[in-house]
Amino acid sequence: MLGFDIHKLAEQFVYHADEPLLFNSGFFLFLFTGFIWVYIVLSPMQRPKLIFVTLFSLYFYYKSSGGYFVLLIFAAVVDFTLAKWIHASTDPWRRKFFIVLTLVINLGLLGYFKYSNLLYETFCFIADKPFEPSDIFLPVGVSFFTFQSLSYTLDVYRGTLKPVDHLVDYAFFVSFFPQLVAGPIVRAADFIPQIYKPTVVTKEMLGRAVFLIGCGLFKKAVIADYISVNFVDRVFDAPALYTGLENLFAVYGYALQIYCDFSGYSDMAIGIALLLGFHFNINFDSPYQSKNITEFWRRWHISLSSWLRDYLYISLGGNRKGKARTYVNLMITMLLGGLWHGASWRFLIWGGLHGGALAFHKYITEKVDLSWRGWHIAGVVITFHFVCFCWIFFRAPDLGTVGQMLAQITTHFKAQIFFDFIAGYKGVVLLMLLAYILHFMPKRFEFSAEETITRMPLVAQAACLTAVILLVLQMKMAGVQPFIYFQF
Amino acid sequence: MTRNKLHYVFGLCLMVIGFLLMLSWVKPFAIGALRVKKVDPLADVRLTVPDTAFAELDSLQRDSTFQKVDSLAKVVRRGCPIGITCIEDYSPDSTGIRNFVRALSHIKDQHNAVRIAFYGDSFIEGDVFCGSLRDTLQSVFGGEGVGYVPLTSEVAGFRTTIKHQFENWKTYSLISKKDSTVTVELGPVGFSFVPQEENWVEYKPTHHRFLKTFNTIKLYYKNQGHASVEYTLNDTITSTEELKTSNKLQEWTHKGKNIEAVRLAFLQPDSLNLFGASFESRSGVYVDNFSMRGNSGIGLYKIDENMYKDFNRYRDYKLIILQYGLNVVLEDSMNYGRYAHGMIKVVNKLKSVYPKASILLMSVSDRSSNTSGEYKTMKAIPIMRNAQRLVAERTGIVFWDLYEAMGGENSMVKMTEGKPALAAKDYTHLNFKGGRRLSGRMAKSLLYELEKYNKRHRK
Repeated sequence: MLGFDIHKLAEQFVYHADEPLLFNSGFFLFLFTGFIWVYIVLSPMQRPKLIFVTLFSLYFYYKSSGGYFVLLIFAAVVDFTLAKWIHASTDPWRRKFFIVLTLVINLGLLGYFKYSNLLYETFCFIADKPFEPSDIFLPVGVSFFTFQSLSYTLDVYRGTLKPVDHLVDYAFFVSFFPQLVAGPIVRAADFIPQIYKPTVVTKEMLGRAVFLIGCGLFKKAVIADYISVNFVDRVFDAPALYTGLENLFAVYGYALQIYCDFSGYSDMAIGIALLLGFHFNINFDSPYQSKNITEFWRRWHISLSSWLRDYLYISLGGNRKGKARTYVNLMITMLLGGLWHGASWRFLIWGGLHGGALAFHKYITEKVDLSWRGWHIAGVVITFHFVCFCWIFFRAPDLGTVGQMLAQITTHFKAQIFFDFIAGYKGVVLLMLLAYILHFMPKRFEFSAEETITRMPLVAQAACLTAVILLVLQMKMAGVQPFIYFQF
Repeated sequence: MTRNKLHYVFGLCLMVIGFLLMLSWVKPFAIGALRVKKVDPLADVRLTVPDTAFAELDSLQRDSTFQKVDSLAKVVRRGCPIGITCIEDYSPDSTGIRNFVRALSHIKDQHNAVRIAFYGDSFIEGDVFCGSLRDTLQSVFGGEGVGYVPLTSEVAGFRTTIKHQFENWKTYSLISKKDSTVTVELGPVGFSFVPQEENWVEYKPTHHRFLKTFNTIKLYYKNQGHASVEYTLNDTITSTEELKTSNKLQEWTHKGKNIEAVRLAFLQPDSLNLFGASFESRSGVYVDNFSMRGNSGIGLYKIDENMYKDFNRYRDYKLIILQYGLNVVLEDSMNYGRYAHGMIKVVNKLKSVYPKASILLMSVSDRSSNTSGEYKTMKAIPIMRNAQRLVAERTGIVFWDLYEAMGGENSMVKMTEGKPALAAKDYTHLNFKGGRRLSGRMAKSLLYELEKYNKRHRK
């Protein structure tokens, strides 16, 4: 048995820029175990519990973003104070002034960290100057917590939410670690009432949490991580080295990867929150089963799309200002939604494509009767492929690569290598197939699996989780699959 | 009211940790092809003990010089300035790189072409490495053009230094599957391209600063029948020329100005073998990329001596660079003595067929593998590097330590995971950015040798 290195142990607790604290890291398991012990002890006491969790969340954020946890405190203090002032004042102009101020501060933060380089690059392009990106660190989760915070101030402004009385309550909401880094975007109106309820975890909540954490781990750390390193990333890095068939499968692979990665992480976040007695809404609902693009956006990253609908689309006037304005509003919402994902023209194009498709779908449903059953299957296939097409813009490093991929798919397809491809990428193909089958399973299978887990004794639940962790560890050590080329 | 199970959560976590600790006692095992590895939840905080299990040595590694190659390198590189990975000269009179640097130093007054033959494997294919090396050297010494290009290529679409399309060719190579019914003589690079019915190949220049147009176009072939070449310039003027009949390698040349496209087709190609084309103009440096995917380097010995010599009569190489080794290293094998022996034979042959060239062997690049959940340099890499250094020492040529120039241990991990990424996700191959960085380091080392030569000879 080897001894322990006290320095290495100490190192674990310090911020490392290249090692954010993820739920699927081993360190998190140990950290969470320690945390939950204190949490249980403090759970009957309101305030100490909130303070403890907030401090832990700040530490959690420090582990991922270093000194930028100060930013989180700053955002919490500012939004708490401004919401209070908005609520207290009766003068509509004062209220307007405060809400504009929160918008400027929150969006300013987001804009500075996320979009400075894009603006600078565009400026350089127009002015024909060489572009050197300035070294701006993007604090983890800044897009998520600014939106969360805005949901609070905007609801207070609209009068649908009463502001909280204590700063700690608000800081607890903004910094709550399960969703802090990668969402879902939790609404103040859904979350804040839960703060004041007693801490209760029922058998059903525990079962659902184990089920979600297991599923999330499997989706994120088994499927997404494996197919990205061993297949998808390589093709997107150099599409010209691969046939059209491989490029096409890389796009299908990426569609799966981004879903598994993102929804897997959301599942874990929802599961961990449940273990602490908090309910989040689901964030993904088998999106690729959608029959049309409007439905897709009701099932994909629900917390973002509903946020955009409630706070952006409706603020713009939604569909209450005539047909033309509805289409324009849809387009603006999706363009900004695209930009939210990252500072790049590619995301803008991605948002534009989706905005256009949503508008088109709205138009066509008013003109044509789409209730025929045959349309449903065609709709699923078309929607899926349209979404995949858009993902190319989302994932490719630049527009040149997008062009290369499309050229490979349309002119160098080489269908004859199909069986070689399957034999060469056995692991990847099997995982993709398994994941797509699971994705298209009817909901009732999921429910019965969850129920089975819930009925299990605790030790069996622990064994199930261990089994998934074991699988994750084995996949992590599976080694790199060497490059395979089927060009000729 | 439902019972509160909050305290169960703590139990759940403890049990999961307990199970994992229990499982860490299980030794690794295999079910068929499936290898189950040991899990260790506490791996990150354990004391690391140096790996004492030393691989069994083969005859060459037991050799005392092999054990000393590291210290040998230090002696050879004495006086090397910081920031440069100096070339190690193992020639008896320290003139290993002289042929090359002398040619470089006279390039301006003699107005000739100084050519470099860059032999290697998939690590350099697509001009990932050579492209920027060529660009750097051409910016210093002049020269416009990509130099040698094969007739067909697996990476034609990926290569950015020339636009290249083709159809209806049969490609034979040193490492392609043996077909006993055909005997095709392989060219000086290890490829032979046989035109089929309706064959064609088209080359177009790219927008890179020294690669914008073609001026001189050359073809290397062997024609034992009555074949002719039909060439179309700029999609308009088509001409036909007969190719010389001979049982030796021949060169066909077309000189023109600012050609924007050339399309070649070969007529009556019954006994015609093509080896390559070349695009160049005026004096300057030309880097010919001789990459072959999957090649270990050993196969170069099989190419006919006269083939090399005839080719060199036209090309007159001043530097031969050898980049090999990636296709030989294996995770668990630490014995590369046999490989070194094979490469010694190859280098000696190249020395005799390229008598006026300096020969530079570059070390294997860093490559990572993942055996414990973390990417690390494959253990065999430094051992292969030392075997290669020994090849240079035994054959008296120059050696350049790419592994060190990359940054040594775990440098590939940094290149792959860095932002921007400098290498591909297989933790083995470079991307163009990475190629630019490393070829820059090589150019720096070569230029440093030139500077030393100039100081000594001109004062």
